[in-house]
Parts: sequence; C-alpha cells; structure tokens
Amino acid sequence: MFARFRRVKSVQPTSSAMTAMGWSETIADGDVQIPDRSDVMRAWLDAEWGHCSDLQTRELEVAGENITLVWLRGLVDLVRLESGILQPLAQVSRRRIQMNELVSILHTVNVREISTKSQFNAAVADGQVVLWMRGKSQSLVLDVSDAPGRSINKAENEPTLEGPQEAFIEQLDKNLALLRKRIRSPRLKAVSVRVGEYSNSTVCVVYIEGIAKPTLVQEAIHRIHNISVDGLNDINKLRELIGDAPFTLFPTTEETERPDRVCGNLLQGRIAIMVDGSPNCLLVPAQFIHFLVAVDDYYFHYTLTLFIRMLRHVAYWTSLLLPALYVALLSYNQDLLPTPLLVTVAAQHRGIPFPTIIEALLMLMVFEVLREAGTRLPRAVGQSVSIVGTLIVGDSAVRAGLVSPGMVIVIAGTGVASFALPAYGFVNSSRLIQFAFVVAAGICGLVGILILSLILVTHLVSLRSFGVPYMAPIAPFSWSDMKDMFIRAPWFAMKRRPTHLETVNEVSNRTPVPKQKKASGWDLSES
Amino acid sequence: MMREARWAPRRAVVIVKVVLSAFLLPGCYDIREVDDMNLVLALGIDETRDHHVSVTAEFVNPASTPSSSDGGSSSSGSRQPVIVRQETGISIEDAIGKFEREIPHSVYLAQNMLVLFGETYARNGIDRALDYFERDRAFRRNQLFLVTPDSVTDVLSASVDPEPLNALGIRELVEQSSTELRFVQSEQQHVMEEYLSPSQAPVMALIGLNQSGHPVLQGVAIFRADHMVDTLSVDEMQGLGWLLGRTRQVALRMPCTGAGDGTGTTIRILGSKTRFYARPDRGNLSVHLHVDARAEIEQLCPHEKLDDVKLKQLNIMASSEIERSMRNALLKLQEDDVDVCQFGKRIFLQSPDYWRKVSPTWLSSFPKISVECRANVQIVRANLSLNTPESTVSRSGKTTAEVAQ
Repeated sequence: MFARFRRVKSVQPTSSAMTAMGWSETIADGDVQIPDRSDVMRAWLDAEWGHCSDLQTRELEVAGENITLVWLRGLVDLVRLESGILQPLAQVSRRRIQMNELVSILHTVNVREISTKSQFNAAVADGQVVLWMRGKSQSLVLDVSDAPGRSINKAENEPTLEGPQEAFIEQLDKNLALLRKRIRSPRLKAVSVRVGEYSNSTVCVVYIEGIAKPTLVQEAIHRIHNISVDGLNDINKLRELIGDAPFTLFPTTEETERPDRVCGNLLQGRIAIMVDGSPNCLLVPAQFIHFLVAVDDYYFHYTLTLFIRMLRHVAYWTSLLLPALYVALLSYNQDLLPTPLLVTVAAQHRGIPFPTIIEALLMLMVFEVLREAGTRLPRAVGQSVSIVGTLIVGDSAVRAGLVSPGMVIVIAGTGVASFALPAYGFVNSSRLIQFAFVVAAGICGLVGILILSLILVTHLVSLRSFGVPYMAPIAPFSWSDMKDMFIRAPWFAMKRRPTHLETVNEVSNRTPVPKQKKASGWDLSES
Repeated sequence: MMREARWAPRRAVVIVKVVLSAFLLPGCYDIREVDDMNLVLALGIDETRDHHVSVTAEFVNPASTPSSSDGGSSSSGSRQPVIVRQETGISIEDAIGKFEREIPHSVYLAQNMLVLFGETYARNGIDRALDYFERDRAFRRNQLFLVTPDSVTDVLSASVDPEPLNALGIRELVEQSSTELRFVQSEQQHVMEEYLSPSQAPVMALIGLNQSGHPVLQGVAIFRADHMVDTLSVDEMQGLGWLLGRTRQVALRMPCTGAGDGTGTTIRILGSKTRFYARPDRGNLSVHLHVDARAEIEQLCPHEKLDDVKLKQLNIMASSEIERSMRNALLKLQEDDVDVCQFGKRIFLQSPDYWRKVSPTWLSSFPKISVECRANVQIVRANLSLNTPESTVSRSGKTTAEVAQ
C-alpha cells in the first residue's frame, strides 16, 4: 500500500522558470500522491478534513464512473458549480470516460490537473472544486471559486487629488489584475510562493523582466522561501520576516495600497511583493527618500512639486527635531534666541511647575495617547476625542498653568508636520526618535542633539534594503538621481532609471524635450 | 569566526562607552531653566563719588511683560515690565556679583542689548569696562555702547512708549538714526574696531532725557582712546557723516533766498560717497575730501519754480551746505584733538610706511592738517510735483501769506 505513495520531486522557481511562467507555483518537499481507491480516498478525506463542517463532498455516478467533487462551502460560486460542473457531468453518456475528456466537457474557465495531496488540500482551501475519479492518480481542479471579499474602492490611506483612485483589496488575483491593467505586457512577471504551514498563503513577487535586476528578484524569492511560520495573513508580518536590519526603527520596505504607485515603481526597476489577504503591497528596495515622496508629486506639475517636496523635507526634520530644539534652547542655549522671543517665552513659562524637558515629554505622551485614541476609535468618536484633547491640552492645561502656550504650539507644530509626511511607517519611526532627541536635548542641550544626529546619520548610512544603500542617492552620491530627490524634474528631463537600483535597462524615456513652436500658415481672413 | 565572536561584544562595549561618555561628559550640570533666570536687557555703568563703579541693571519682569500668561492687564497697571536695580562695587564684575547675592534667580547676561555709560565714567576712561566686556563670553558683541549725560538709572527707568521694554526702545531709537548715519549704531564690535584702529577714536551714541523724561538721541560722544573727550550735536553728526563717508537719506535744510515762510528748502541726500586723498606737503599733511552725492527735493521754498537755473542753484547750495557742515565738524574735532573722522586709519590703509613715520606724533599733528572739503550734489529728481503749489496757482508772484493779508 505504501509503495503507491510515490515521492514527488519538489519544484523550485529558477530564473529560467520564472521567465517562462507568468504564474508559477511550488510544491513542498515530501508530498505524496492522491489515492486512487475510493475507500482510501474517503479515509484520507475523513482524516485530513474531519471536523470541517464546511467541507462539502458530492459523489456522482457518471457513465459508470465514480466521481467525487470536493469543495468548501462559502468559497465556491454554487451557480457556476451547478451550471459549469454538475450539469455537464449529468449529460455525459459515453462509458469509460477519461480525465482529459472531462476537461473539454466541463464548462469552467480554469481547469488543471493535480496529483498530490498537498495540491489537493491547497486547491480545496483556495475555494476551488476538486474532481476526483476512482482509479485515477490525477484529479481535476475546477476554478469556480467565489471567495467573500469587498469590491475595489478608493484609496483611503494614500488619497490624491489627481490621478487614479483605485486601491488594492484583500484578493491577490484582483490585485494582480489591477497591475496587469496598467502594464499590458508579458514582461510583467508574477512569481508566487506558498507561505505558512496552516494559512498556506500565496505570496507573489511581481517585477518587470528586462528592467528589474535579476539578482534582486532572486534575493526576494530566496527570503520568502526561508520563511517558516504557521500563518501569514498580512503584509506587515512578511515585512518583518524578510526585511533588512530587524532592529532598526526605520522601515526598509515601502508599503502602498495604490496599484498606480506600484506600477510606477516597477517601471523604475523595483519589485513588488503581495500577499493574498492583504490590501497592501510591499515595494523593495526602499530608500530613505522614497518615504518622503507622495504619489501626488507625479500627478502635479513639476513646478508645484518642487515646493511641496522641499516643504515635506522640512516637515520631516521639524517633526523630528522641533521639540528637542525647543527644550535645548530653553534649558541650555537661551543665548541663541532673539531677545524679544526669549522675553516672550520666559513670560509664558513663568509659574510652570515642571522643567522644560518634563513638560515636553508629558505633552508628547499626551499627544501620542490622543493620536492613538483617535486612530482606534470609530471616525465619529475619534473626532470628538481630538476636540476634547485639543480643549484639554490646548486651553485647560495652559489656563491651569501646567504647560506653557509655547510648548503647546511646539507639540502641535510637530504633530502637524508629521501629518504632512506621506508614509505612515516613516511617521511612526519619527514619533519614537523624537522622544530620544528630546531626552538628549534635556541632558546636553544642542550638543546632545548634535551627538544623537551624528549617531542617527551613521546608522542611516549603514542601513541597506535588499542590498541597496538606504541613503542612496545621497550616500553614495549620484548626481543623475537627484532629478527625483529633493525636487521632481519634469518628465522630459528624467531619461534614466535610478542608478542605485542597477536596472537591466537604464533608459526609461526617449521623448525629446518639447519646444514651443510659432504658429505658421494661419489665415485669419477666412474666418 | 571565533575571533569575530569575541570581537563583537568588545565592540559593543566600546560603542556603549563612547555613546555614554558623549552624553555624560558634557553633562546636564549647566542646565538653567528659562524661568530660573533674570534676563538682563541693559547695563548702566557709572562712577560714584568715592570712585567706585555703580552698575544699574534692567531686568525683565516676566509677570508684567505683555506676553505673560496673565495677559497685558498687569503691565498697564502698577507693575512695570522691567525692574531696574543698582549695585556698587570696586569693579563691574564685583557689582554684578552682588546682584547674584541680592536678587532671586541668577543673572543672565547673554541677552544684554545695551551698555549705558555715565558721562563721568566715560570721561575717566572705559578701558576697564572694555576689558570686561571683551573678555566675558556671556555677552554678545552686538550690544550697543551708549553714553548718557543724565543719570544712568533715570535713562534706564524712563518710559519708551509704545515699546514696553526700555532697552528695546532705546535700541530702536539708535537703530532708526543709524539708517541715516551708520556710525551712530555703536555696537561693541564696531567700537572695539575703532578703538583698536590707528586713529583710536571710537564714537558712541549719546542718549539723554528730554524735557518730558523720555530718552532721545542727542548726538554722539567722541572718544580719544578710552576717554570721552566731547560730544557732537545732531547737526554736527551730519558733518562727521560726510567726513566718514557713510550717509543715507540725510535731509539738508537750507534757507530761502527770497521771500519765504521760514521752513526753507529741504533736500534729501539719497546716498553719498566720500573720496579721501592724502598727500605730504613740505612736512605737513594735506588732505582732500570729495563728496559725491545724489539727492531729491523734498520741499521747495514757497513760490519757487524749478527750472534749470534753480536746479543748478540748489545743487550748489546743497554742496556748499555739505562743505560747511564738514568744515564745522572737522574744526571741532581738530580743536578736541580727536581723529574720529578716521584720517589715521585711512592713511594707514593708503600708505602703511608713511603712517609708521607719522603715527608717533599723530595726536599732535592731526590738528595741523590742512583739509580741503569739496562736495558735488546732483539732484536727480523733484519727486511727484515739479513746482510748489503756490507758484503754480499764483500769477501775481505773491506768496500765499501776502495774498491772505
């Protein structure tokens, strides 16, 4: 009996295989074949899927052949099951029908053969119908799945005024379709890997062949293969499992919910990693500068973007350093303030019972609590929390003499500056780092800020994301990449892809520079 | 591999040591909260009868500044936005040290904006004060050095409405005047530059109280090295301005040639440039100063019409006025034997070798220098109207006053 359970050789995606397949699947090691006897099959199904009340089996006698259909209730479109599988099977009259003949009889779009138990389990778990026939070592997987999910909506976390508004949803195939819709080329490749012993989630590495660096793709797939977890239901878990420098506060992968953003980045030579069940997509490699770039930058005119992007850089450093600078200037370096300002600040600070450092830390904590409360609560309640918080902190606390108005302005300014940043993960890191800066400023004043800044810069330049320096193109410096760094150059000027991504094809734009032409040959007399 | 494994904790220890020492060595020992300090905005320095130094300090009163959390109500009441306290000691630092012992909260000098010298102290020499202010790292080098003929305490206590803080108000006064004559803004670094220059003749703005008790700019105090020698009035300041070649937007008032109402013609010098030529002439030094200026008419005498002849006449009158002003100022400086017009410095810049010859006897030879002052004023515009309203409407040639009679 055991002799029948033949071991199947595992398939690893290679670069050549990836090139050949738009969509590939891997089979785990140590898999065994599907039994071909009814009693064995029934026993195996009872053992494997016992106590699964949503598992549906339907045994049919089709032209003398014993056929069993297996599916999970709720994941299958019953109408398509009826019309595409059951009705055609009922009309089969010829005896001793073969499996390949069934493929042409059944009215389902996607039919494939499987031969192993793990493929059987994966297909059922994916919401597909598996057709098993007695005496056959292969089974058919009939795709009539209709997994519950929401429809494609507007991007809520990355809203833009102009440009496309679609956002990813929790279904991987639809997310991939959103990318295919924008890049209509077979060079757009999607390599899928199953991750999670129990969740068996599909992780998909998307890239453009001929642009993305092949070793980068291999590295991403290699890292995903190394994952061995029970379940993977969201992109955030994957981010921590495959990211570089696990202990850094800075994100080394970028997250987005916008397919247009993913497409733009794929065309730049980056790769996207998607997980079935997550409405977000990871973009790697991620550099420091990517977190200060908003999608709007590419939809607005470049002259507007120039100012807004510079403003965003200022906002980032403000959110990081403003409370610390305020503490340093009020506790140590008062001589650096203009006299009228110092007189104002001294007058405001009179009677405040706490030192500036404690005042700042308290206010930052209160602000963080308010922000967290506003995030967790439903939107309507969250607004009232922010109003109450504003009233308490901004007015009552000042009137009670617990905090100075200047400190309220500084903390509010810091918060507003952090809201100007497009990447939420990056904002979170600056929220933590600003506490460290405040403490450093409270210990050593401006010297403390300087020391911590040096440590921070040293840390930043030592980081890498999938082998690419985190601070590129600042360090290592690349003049040509500056066109999309602090400013966004006009599209006609951006001819090449970022050099630090080491793309296969460097040139991305061959459009000549547009020139203003004088109108000629207009005969206005006719009108 | 083993070496790397051993090396890793050692490196971590080194990193921790470096980071800890980086933070702990500077330390938080000099932390000083802003509400634990007495902000000094102005210092007044004068000499007592027993030749001690009296230091008057103007402190910010946080409880009564308009921006305090109590609001501006208290500042308009009995409490003043500044507190003026006086201490006496054998030196400036001694007197300031007494503030530390007698007033709660430590004295914070880094924001000091004014140093007001009493005339007595200035005439007896300010070298000790200069040494103190140059040596102490707390002070900013842009604090104003001023001299007052009145009581230092009275000036620092005087109201400078609408500015609530006395020191800020006095500084504003000086800065406003310095837009015309830059040398009036006698900041510490400029005073020290002039003091250390070959001429060794610094200038400081002279602040006094007017009849209603408000501080006003009364001119400049001129120093020979560290001793105050004399003062120049506001009119004489203009002459010094032409001599130094640093003027902007200076108004010249000239009497009317014919009938007038007494206000005269006003010409505003938009900008001027003074050229300096020095030439040894049979043992004596001959200096030639040439002022080129552009001007506009601010006010014409009543009933005057501006034509080519009048314009030339005004140019000549303005030039003559500048030359007269320069000669008067120079005469006073030569009488006082003070090279405030920086001839010595300019000769040094033109001919260092010659300066080395004359520098030992410069103080005695400066009064004997023959100076020729020439000015050339070009009126470039008459502003919005060409002639006076009287000359435009009157056909009889009479002035409005005559018509009214």
